[in-house]
Amino acid sequence: MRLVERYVLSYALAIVLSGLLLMVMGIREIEIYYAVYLIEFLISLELVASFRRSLGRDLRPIIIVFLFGFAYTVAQRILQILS
Amino acid sequence: MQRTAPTRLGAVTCPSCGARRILAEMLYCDQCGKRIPDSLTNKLGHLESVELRGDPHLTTTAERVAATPPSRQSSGVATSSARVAGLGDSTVKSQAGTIARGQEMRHASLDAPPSILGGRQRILGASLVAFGVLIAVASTVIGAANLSGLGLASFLIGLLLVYLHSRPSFGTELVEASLLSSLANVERILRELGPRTKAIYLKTVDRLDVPMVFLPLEENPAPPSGLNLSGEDRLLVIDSGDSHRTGLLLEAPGASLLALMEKELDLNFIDLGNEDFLNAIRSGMVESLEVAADVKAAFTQDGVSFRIRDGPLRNMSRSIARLVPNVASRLGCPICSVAICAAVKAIKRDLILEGATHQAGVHSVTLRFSGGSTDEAS
Repeated sequence: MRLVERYVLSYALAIVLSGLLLMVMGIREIEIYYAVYLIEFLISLELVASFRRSLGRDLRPIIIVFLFGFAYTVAQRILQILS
Repeated sequence: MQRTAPTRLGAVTCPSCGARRILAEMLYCDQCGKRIPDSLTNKLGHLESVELRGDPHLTTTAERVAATPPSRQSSGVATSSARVAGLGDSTVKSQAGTIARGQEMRHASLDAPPSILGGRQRILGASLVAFGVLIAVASTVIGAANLSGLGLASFLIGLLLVYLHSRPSFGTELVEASLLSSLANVERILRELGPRTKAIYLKTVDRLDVPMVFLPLEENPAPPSGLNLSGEDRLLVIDSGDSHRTGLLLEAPGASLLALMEKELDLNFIDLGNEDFLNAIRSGMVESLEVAADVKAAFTQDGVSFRIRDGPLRNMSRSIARLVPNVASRLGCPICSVAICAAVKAIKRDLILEGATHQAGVHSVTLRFSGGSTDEAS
């Protein structure tokens, strides 16, 4: 199996398992799911990018989109606390 | 140079008497008794192997493929076959026997790399995105907030699949097709100049040096430990005072691949010791470039040996070994050459290529230190 395929499959497996685990634990906040998925994405990418730097560069737009999403959830939470 | 075009698929004419040959294993013409050039017998071999597969798209001529309107089931195959067949025609006209048309068609049509992320990847990704959105909406409507986490997971996986699919990727057959003509030219140079000497991979001094290979024109059983050709920028190096320094100076076939591997791994082999070298070469060739399934290297007192198991590029390796045997055995195919170049950079010594063979999907490379063993050198 190719490196990219292994990366996609391992990431999919990781977030499905962690999603199920969080669901069983009764977590209802979507921000927590999002943060966990983002951390898993960055960890798995770092593991793969040690073999292939170009993959890390290619997935940079996805990382930026993820980080914007994370910034949005953090901003929302701050506003919620302030209000 | 005699140029002979195929008269029909599976048959070429004898360049001497014009008799039609159809069997690959017959090396001599039964009409005139002259030897059939290897390039033509190789071509027959490829065409016959294609015919045995029984695929009608592969056993038709380029003209017929181009003239036949593509059917619904075969349109993709017919289009790619016709396109590559056209290229093959021009190749046959310009360089008889370097790359057979049948072989190009076989690679274009049959040898697509096995991949789970194939043509359906975009559909799968879009479906997962849609499924994720639906789940998220449904979980909001029915008030099951914890379901939205799974919806988000599905959405993210789908997004990743769609994004990765949108990046261009190229099949192994394209790599092979773009490489073979260049190697065929080198093969012709080796064949016509006819040196029967062993190639010497020259050590690199600087981190940015391109690995070079020197092929002496005169028999040279014991070349000096350091040739010192770093200042040379000529293809044909002639030194009337020193026959050791007269020969062909070529960029190693795997030099560019090594540069790519170093870029992907973010390291330079010139900085590595023997232990790190073994790990790095394996990571680079198997994981980064994916040009091999396994790499084993062994350091001895006299030199280095590699055993490289073919990966996705096994068809390319097979074609190189068959079509450009001089390059493959005396300079090393690009895959062997990557390993040799990396070794030269890591060891920082000239290495003589004793032999490079490709059999049953395995490359075996034996290298000897130029000027004697490690002990003698130190």
